[in-house]
Amino acid sequence: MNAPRAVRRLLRDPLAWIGGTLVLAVVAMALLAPVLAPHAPDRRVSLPGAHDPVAPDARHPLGTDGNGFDVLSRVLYGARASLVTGLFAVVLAMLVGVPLGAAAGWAGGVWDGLLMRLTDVLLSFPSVLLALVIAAAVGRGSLWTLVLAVGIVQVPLFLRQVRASVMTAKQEDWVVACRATGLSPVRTLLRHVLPNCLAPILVLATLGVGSAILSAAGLSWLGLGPPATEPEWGRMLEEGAKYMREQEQWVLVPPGLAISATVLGFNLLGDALRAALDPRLAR
Amino acid sequence: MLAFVARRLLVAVPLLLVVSFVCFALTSLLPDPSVARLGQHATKANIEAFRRSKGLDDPFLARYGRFLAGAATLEFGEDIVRDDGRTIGAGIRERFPATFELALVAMVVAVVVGLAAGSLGAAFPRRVADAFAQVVAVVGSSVPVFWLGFMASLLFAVHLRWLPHPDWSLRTVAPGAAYATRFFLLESVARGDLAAVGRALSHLALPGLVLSTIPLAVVTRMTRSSMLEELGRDYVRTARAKGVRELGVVSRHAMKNALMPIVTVTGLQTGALLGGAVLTESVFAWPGLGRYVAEGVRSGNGPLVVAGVFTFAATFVVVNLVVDVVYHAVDPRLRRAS
Repeated sequence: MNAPRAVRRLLRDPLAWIGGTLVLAVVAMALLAPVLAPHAPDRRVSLPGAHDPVAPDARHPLGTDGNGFDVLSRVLYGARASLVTGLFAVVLAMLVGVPLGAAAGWAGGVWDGLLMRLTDVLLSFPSVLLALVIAAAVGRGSLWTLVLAVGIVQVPLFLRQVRASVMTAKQEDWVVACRATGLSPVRTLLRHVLPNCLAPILVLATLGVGSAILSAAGLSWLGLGPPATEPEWGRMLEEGAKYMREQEQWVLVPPGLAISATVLGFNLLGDALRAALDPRLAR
Repeated sequence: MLAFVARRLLVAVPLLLVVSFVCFALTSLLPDPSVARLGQHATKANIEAFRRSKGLDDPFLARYGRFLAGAATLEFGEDIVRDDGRTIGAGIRERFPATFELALVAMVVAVVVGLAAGSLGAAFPRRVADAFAQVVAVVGSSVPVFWLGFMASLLFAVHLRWLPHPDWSLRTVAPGAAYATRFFLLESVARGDLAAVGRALSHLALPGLVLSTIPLAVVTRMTRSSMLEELGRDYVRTARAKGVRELGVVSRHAMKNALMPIVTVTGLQTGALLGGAVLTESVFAWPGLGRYVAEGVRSGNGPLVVAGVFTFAATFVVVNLVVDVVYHAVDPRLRRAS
């Protein structure tokens, strides 16, 4: 991996710019939500009782939803929930997957075989279903349920990737040279081999944030996420679905667009990173 | 060939056993089904009596043994939460065909579109069509299926009225007919009833197209890269040199060789597809297994959820087994190797 050259390639890629802009926009939404939002996301702004969605007007640029919340404010604050879920889920998956994968690839043998069979088992569940069961087991009610469910599902992906990278690196001459100079195996692994495996981990993590946000939105939409008062995009869609066949169909649009744009941003950025870090793939 | 099948089975059967164990271990983590059955306000004594009568307090291995026996007969015991005298397996068997046909249609759409778009991209890389296919693929994989489902049905079923609101039942597919199975599409095809096939497809169209966006991106990408690799080989140059047209080179010469990784990836994408079915079915009120499981989660019906998830996982394992075996049977290179 040649870092400056990869960065230069990344900067030349228009898709990287689109992806980066989308991601930055969502981060800005999350950080600036208190400034940008016209209303508090969890205060009912329309009269209590008659909570039907109110069409967009000057006071509520995107209208209000069936609970009497301002939709624009909730979409802005919802960026926080999505980013937190996506980032922490990937961090969790990396914290478990990277050390286990490195150990499996480095040590090989029985330990490696056992871990591989275990990932085989985890990967033979459709991932949404596995996340669904984990979320149901943890109990309902918070973003952390989603983080845990979605994070565990991603562990095998990191484990396999790191294992493959470490196994490839292990064969290389410079690793043999490290060993020959008397460097301890653990030190060789931590200081020399793992840093060389960073590129694929970075790509996987970027794509992982996108798919984690997507899965978490799905779980939340199925009712396993935070309660309806919390601004969360998947949950907003679940509320909006009640108006599917009526006049107020537009309440479904903003949260869905927000999820799509966020996930698209991470996907484009991840693809561009992959192309920049491994030019052989970018033909 | 037989040796290969035997070897693959030797891997698949223990895998299924471990999967069943993991599934079952998850039950013990799920909320107590007796609470779902008796309600929040049931007395402790009532719950204990109920648990004892349903064998919920038996030792772990005894319960796992019962689960395995239930899985082997596809019955999975009585549904103690719904308590309607039917087994969980009966409910699963009733809904499995709807999910199977939905997933089948989605997969066929994804493979056909993905092969075409990917080959086109590889034949003319870095042109407008290639860029367009790539963009559609990445956008398609970024949009949540359940939201796409809402939007698609608003557009095509409510505003444009091109397609019906999906209503998957014998009443809409073949009114008045008596079908032997609940595979409405496949049985209509088998009966040669073209009107029924058309009606079935029109109801499958919306959810099928929406669900197909999940594997579409991966299939398109894999086709493109695998095809690009093949198009750089010597035999392709030979074919071009002897005057085969580009379309023929791609579709007849390179495709066969490029297919292997595509088929493998397609098999693996079934998992994502089946998971996506849970979300898609819930949007379209599709009477399939996915919605059954999602409802089971909502109503705290742990045993049903576990049986449903196991059915999904087992289907996934079996699909990949079949894909492997079929591919081995078809590809002469692999046939010789085994």
